[in-house]
Amino acid sequence: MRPCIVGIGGAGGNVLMKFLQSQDVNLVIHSFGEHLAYGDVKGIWLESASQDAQGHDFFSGAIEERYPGHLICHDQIHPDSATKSYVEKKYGYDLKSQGFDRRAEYLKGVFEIFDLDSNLKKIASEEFNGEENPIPSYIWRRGVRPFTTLAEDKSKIKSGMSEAPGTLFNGLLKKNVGKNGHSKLCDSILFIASLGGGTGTGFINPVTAYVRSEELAFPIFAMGILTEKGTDARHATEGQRDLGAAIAMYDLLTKPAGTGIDGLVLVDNQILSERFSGNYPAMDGAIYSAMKPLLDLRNYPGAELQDDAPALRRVFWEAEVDKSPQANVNGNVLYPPLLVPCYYAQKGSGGRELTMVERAFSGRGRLFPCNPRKAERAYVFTRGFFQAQALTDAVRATTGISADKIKIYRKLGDSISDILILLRNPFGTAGDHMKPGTFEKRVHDVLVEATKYIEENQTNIIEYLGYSSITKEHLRKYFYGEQGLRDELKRAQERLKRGEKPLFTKPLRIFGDQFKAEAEPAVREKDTGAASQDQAAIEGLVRSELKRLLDSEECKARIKELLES
Amino acid sequence: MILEILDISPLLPRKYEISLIALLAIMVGGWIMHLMYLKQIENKVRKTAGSEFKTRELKNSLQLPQGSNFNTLVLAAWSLFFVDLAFLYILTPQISPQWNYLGLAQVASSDFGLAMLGVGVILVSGLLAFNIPRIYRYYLIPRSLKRSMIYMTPLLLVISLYLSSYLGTIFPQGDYSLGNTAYLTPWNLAYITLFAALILLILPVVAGFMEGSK
Repeated sequence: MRPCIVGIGGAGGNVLMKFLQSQDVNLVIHSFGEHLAYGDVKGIWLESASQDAQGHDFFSGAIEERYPGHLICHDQIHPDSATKSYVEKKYGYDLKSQGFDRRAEYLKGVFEIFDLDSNLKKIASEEFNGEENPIPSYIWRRGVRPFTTLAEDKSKIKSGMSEAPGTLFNGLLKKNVGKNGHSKLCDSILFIASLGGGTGTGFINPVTAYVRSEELAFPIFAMGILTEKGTDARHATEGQRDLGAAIAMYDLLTKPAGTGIDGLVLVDNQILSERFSGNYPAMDGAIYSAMKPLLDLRNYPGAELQDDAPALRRVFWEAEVDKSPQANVNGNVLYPPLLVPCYYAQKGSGGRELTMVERAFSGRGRLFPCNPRKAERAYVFTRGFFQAQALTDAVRATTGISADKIKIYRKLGDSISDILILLRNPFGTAGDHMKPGTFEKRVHDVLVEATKYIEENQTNIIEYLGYSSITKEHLRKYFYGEQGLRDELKRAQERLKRGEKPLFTKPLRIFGDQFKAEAEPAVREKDTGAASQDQAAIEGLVRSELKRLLDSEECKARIKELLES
Repeated sequence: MILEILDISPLLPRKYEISLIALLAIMVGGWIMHLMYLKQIENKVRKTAGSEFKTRELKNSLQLPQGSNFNTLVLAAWSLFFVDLAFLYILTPQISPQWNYLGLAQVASSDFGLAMLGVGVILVSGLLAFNIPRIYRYYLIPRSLKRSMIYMTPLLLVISLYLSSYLGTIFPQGDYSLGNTAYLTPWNLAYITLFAALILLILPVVAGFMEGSK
């Protein structure tokens, strides 16, 4: 797997920095080739607060000119933009807002209106050369796409989209063909963002939706970092951040296959903060180290393609064969899996498989609270020299997962042996929401805090400076309406208490289908008229065809036979 | 004090031959360790793979990109190493009279004589200099070691080159008698820096071999 890692927002950027640290030596005055990161991954930092990006040591330049670099998500939008002005006037959203104020619902709302408001689409299309959704388009086209294998297929570039300019991307395709002819471009996308409710939380879904409009099956994974308890450095309260996390998880986990991400890896910064005494660089380093077995390119001989991203995507979606009621299936709709990483490393190139697995599952190995015995599946990535069967046996013995639901991906080791186990949906014990150190308790607490914040901060949430009456009305319905977010989060808490899966069961929108109907009455009427005309034409056709059949000699004979018999 | 330490006159008169053999032995030793490292890895993989594979497939799987800066400088370092080796051993008649640079009067008296010698050596040793760095792709070299190699090796080699050139260019001035400490000191220093550079250059192989032996 060779992903393009997209770090979004402050925390996403800090973790990305670890992933992109050069494996080469720095010559200070000149570089003889491209930046080399572990696993040959590429990456980009997306930020909406330009003041945070300016003067950043690592991502100091715009991505088009310098690598590693950053992209300001809304740079495409001119301050005098007609689209910006329309959105501001009608909805009260500022498309160039710096940091988006740690409100997950803010960006959610912004991107929903681009999906639903036909007038807005028209204005945007006229302003942005045929592009109806300019922000995700800009991020995808300028920032991410040039690093992926999709860049090789120019036929799929949407109309109105030009190829990314800039010195960095010139000749990128030519440079990225390995000696065996295989592409060295990225075969997938891995978003990394904190689930605190800011830029990181808000951009994963819209960019994913945009990518899906071009390529349904391109593998897209996300890593969500749940922020630690308490008030953060920017004075965002735990409740506010938990609401951001709840909205983010809700939206990421309720997108059916082919419309959203292919898997959400969850990391709990609370665990890391306790382990590293709040040393953020060390915490980010721990996340990076844990993902190394996944990114390592040194596969066992003969298994070179075992963990390419399309193969991983396929196994992550293998849920339909699950017969258990716990399977991540909601009716006929498949939702993306939730993956909890467990990691253990030791010096030397070998080790007993069972010991490695047990230590990965121990309290110190888990990067998010979980119960391995409740996992539906396990994806095991190792670096070192291990027997596949012994690893399968060890995981089966410690989790009870059947062998056919354990996938092993072995990489060649050297001076270090480590193991990363991604557990699929490792929760579902009734009553565990009260038990410290469990997935149920951690997520339940987040949902309780989020619900409490919704209930206690109605004015702060709805009466936000600048929101228009339309936005306020829809936000009220979204948060406080029947079947709204508050109700759904309470239902999710109940499901956790009862040990049921999945966490969330139905997608929720701020500006739902009803809004679409309201926003497009003319189109609807036109559609209704067209539909009734079509219906009349079909009825006429059916009538004449029936008449022709009944009048035919063959039919008359058949009817006669039937009557006589 | 330093002069006393560096004075290896008791080893004379076969000092130069011994020192050259030591360098070559280290290179050969490094090569053997590399082969043994690959064998160790192969054995471990064969024990655990659970399926048959060819050694070539394993070699392909083992390869890692080390970075353009590292590759460029390590190639330069190996080229410089061979130039240093040549300068150290064939620049003055005392050390290797039959292979001596000064025997080529036209080249030796040219303004670019030393440079021509250096280029000539690179051409002759080119095959080795270009191929040896390829072995690094099989090793997971920590960045700290890469940094040490890249920053220290050229420095050591330049010191060695400077001292060898110095000895070559002052010839026939000075007293070159074998027991003369004043002459021996620069040569010994040049040898020691060359030796240290070689050790740094093969350190990833040694570290990999040691690790694999555990």
